[in-house]
Amino acid sequence: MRRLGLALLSMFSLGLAAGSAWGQGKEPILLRDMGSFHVGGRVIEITGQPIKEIVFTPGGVPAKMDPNGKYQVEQMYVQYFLPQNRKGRLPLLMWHGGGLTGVTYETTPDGREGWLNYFIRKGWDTYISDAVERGRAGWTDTFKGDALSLPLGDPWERFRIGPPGSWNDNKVQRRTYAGVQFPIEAYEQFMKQGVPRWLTTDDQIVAAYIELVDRVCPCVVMVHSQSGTFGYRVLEARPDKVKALVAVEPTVGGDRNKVESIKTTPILVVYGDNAKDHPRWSKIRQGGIDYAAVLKSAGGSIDVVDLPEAGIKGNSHMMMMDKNNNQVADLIQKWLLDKGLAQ
Amino acid sequence: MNYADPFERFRIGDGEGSWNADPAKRRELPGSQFPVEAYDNYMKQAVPRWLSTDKAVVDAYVALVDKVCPCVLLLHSQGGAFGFRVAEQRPDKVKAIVAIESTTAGDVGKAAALKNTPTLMLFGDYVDQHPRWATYKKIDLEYAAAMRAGGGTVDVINLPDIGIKGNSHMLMQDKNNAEIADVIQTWMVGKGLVE
Repeated sequence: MRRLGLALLSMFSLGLAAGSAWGQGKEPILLRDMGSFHVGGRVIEITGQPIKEIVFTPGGVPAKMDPNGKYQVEQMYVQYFLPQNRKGRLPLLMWHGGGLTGVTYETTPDGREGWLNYFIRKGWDTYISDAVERGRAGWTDTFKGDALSLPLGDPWERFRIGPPGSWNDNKVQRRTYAGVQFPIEAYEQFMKQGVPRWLTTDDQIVAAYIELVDRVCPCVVMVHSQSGTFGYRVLEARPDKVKALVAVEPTVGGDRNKVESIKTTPILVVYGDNAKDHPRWSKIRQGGIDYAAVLKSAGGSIDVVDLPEAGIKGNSHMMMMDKNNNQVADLIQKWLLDKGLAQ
Repeated sequence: MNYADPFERFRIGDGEGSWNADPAKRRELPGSQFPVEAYDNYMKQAVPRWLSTDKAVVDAYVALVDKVCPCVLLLHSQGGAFGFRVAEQRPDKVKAIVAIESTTAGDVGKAAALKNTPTLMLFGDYVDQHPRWATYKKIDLEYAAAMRAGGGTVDVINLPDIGIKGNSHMLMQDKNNAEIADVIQTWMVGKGLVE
């Protein structure tokens, strides 16, 4: 087996990122392999467009560019890290939320280790993806509608860092929820993680996730926010392959007409702090609670955890990058252990 | 990029007209090392690009260099044009450059700034026979000459000259990619950059 020293990567950033694994004095991460691939998508054909001549680099050599022909569209990017000491019984797939990429689970905006490192350290074979249209999946201008980007202040209130009306361009005038765990000093850094999103691409995203599941599962799927709906839809399409679903503040639950088909897959739903009181999140959470009741009454297995009731306070919607992100991950890991999915 | 474009432009196929939707009718360059059976997967790696963002790209790279360097830059294609410009701005931080088929280099007038930045320029096969790539190589070599005139060190390796044949523009993905990486690694060891 190959032994890849991710520790070396940490050495390069020694003295620069105080939050690196090295800086925290943790053991190096030992991998038996790492890599990436694209999956899914389809080929379309463009016809009837005029041929162009393009100079790609100023001072460069012109290239003839025929825009007609076949194009690859709607693929997804996946990166995997396989630990030397494997303890997860199945691969763990980590799916990000809307307007974001797999970066969600990587390093936190203030430079600490994210959940990707956490679950690799716990011995999970991890597959972290950039969904169709995001990050290294790439995109094309074939999607319907406009690409949306978020103004700097939007997630502050919508992701429950501060209550409605708490954002201010001036840092010192921003308000937060009491005891918020989000690393607010790195909020601007968090906003560098945003990518455009379309509102018309759910089916394409789900199609690529199904291809991923067909390739690497049986597995555990972890979803966040927008990808909650993707996780449920893929579980409904492949109930034999998705062996557990961890849904971190999913914005939508599953299809109530399909609960029968997914009742053998245990589900954990986690909500952070202030979700019950926030005008939007209170509705989202209630939808999740109602769905859980329907699934349970059909004989399904779903555990809903409100973190404050488990004694974990101050968590925003981006709890995987909150200051107590390890504490929340511990709760998830314990649930996975209890379900017999890891050693 | 449409399907035909990189096949013809990145020297996988034998120039314009070598692409065909029918794999049996595609004309590869003789001995091509590109994994053509995975060409479809290669096309999934593409993302949109703009022709108006060079300054923003270079500014972000300078910020990266300021964050993590001193360092070695490994550049490919368009990244070469960015990398040499970044190095010209931070010659004290960029300790070496490996430029793989750089599509233009830096500003010839500023090449002397890199006199303490040893540089390796590396080219694959069929470059001299391909009008577009031959021109890029000429531009790169002019920059190399300007670096040398300013007291700098540039090594140029044409892979076929050292017996490594059939490499496309995407030589880091070619079937003999490890062999080429060995050449780069040996060069870096020779420059005292590796223990």
